[in-house]
Amino acid sequence: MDLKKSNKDKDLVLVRRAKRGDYKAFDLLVLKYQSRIAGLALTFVKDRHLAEDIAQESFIKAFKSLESFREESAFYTWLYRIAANTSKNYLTSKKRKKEYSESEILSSEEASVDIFDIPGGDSPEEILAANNLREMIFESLSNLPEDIRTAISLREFEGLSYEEISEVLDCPIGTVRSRIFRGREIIQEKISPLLDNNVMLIRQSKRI
Amino acid sequence: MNEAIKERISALVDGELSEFELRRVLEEIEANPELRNYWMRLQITKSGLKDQSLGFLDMDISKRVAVELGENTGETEKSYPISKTQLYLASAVTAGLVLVVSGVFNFSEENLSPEELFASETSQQIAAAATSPQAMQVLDKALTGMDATLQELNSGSKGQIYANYRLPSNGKTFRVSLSPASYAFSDFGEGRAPKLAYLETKNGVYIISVSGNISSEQKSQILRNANFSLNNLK
Repeated sequence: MDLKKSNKDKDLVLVRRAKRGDYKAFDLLVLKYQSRIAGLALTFVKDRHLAEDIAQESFIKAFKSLESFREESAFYTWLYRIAANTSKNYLTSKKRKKEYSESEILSSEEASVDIFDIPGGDSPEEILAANNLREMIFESLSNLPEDIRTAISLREFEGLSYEEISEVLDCPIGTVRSRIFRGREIIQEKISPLLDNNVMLIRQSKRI
Repeated sequence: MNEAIKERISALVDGELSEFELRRVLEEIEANPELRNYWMRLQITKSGLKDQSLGFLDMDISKRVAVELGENTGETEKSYPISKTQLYLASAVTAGLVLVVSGVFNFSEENLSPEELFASETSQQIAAAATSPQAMQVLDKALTGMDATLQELNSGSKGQIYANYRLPSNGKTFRVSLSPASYAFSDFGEGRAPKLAYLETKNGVYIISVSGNISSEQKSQILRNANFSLNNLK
């Protein structure tokens, strides 16, 4: 079997639920994407608080126009466009166009989504915290039992669905789901102290 | 936390949950903040593995988004819309009749600040507090120099007051909320909600917060004007 990425949008089940008026589903999408959307806004406005405000506004716009999401692209791609436009509108309205180059805008429209995911936050503490956390996640992954590590790798790096993984590993889908869960539990256990510490350090650094 | 629910949340992360399971998981997450946090942490792990952003680790704007959309995850402000007459009163007070109205009311605790009087009023009579002159004083003071128009005033069942304003100069809207701390903490969760300040009284801690489509500087100015304590309270 080809290890080809499944094109299924992982968010559709939540999006469709949100479209039917269940805000709890949209809330999970906010939690999922808030950091990435704020990170995207930060590349435009260069101000952390503004980036948060723009992210907030982007999610509000997305929810209000959810009906117009036709599922022709991934939900995140659609959300990304809203956030990029909201950021640009902010800059335009503030007549701050000169503060960023036209080429940046053009490239952001053409670029694939992941290019604009920044590696960390805007402060040295955040960049250090993000790097440490990423290292810890990969270290935890490499120490997982082989069957679990394989299942997680096929999911995260190859983008295979549970069904596809079950075919590759020749095991039931339930086993795939269980292995991925157990792997994530082990990683969570390892990174939790660091994550708590990182959040605390970042907050402290902002109070200075 | 229940392992079976966590396993379902893990499957939801991958979009591998049935509609039936989803409904149950959403209900469980709504009822248990730990599960909500678990969902967030799984997203962080996933982002780490995929070389995506790990910035804004301390940020959680979900509650602010919910409030702006009128989707309070706890009690909602929809419960007690304030009448046009009350709104007129509120507007009048906001427009500059604070001193006159204050003189009419018999303040039993003369040494208390308007903020403390407001807090006391709230604890005794929630609905009345929403239009009390003390509350209006707090709001009026907070909006000093903003030239904002009060558009709507609502109260929640736990003593929260939501005042929606508009800046005529640019059409931007924002909301100033006054809430007892017990509600405000659940309202904002453990995440970052920087645009707030608090007032500590013998009746409890009260929060003033600002959200909406105005600049961070303007939000901070409103909090400073309100004369509540600004510190690291989240």
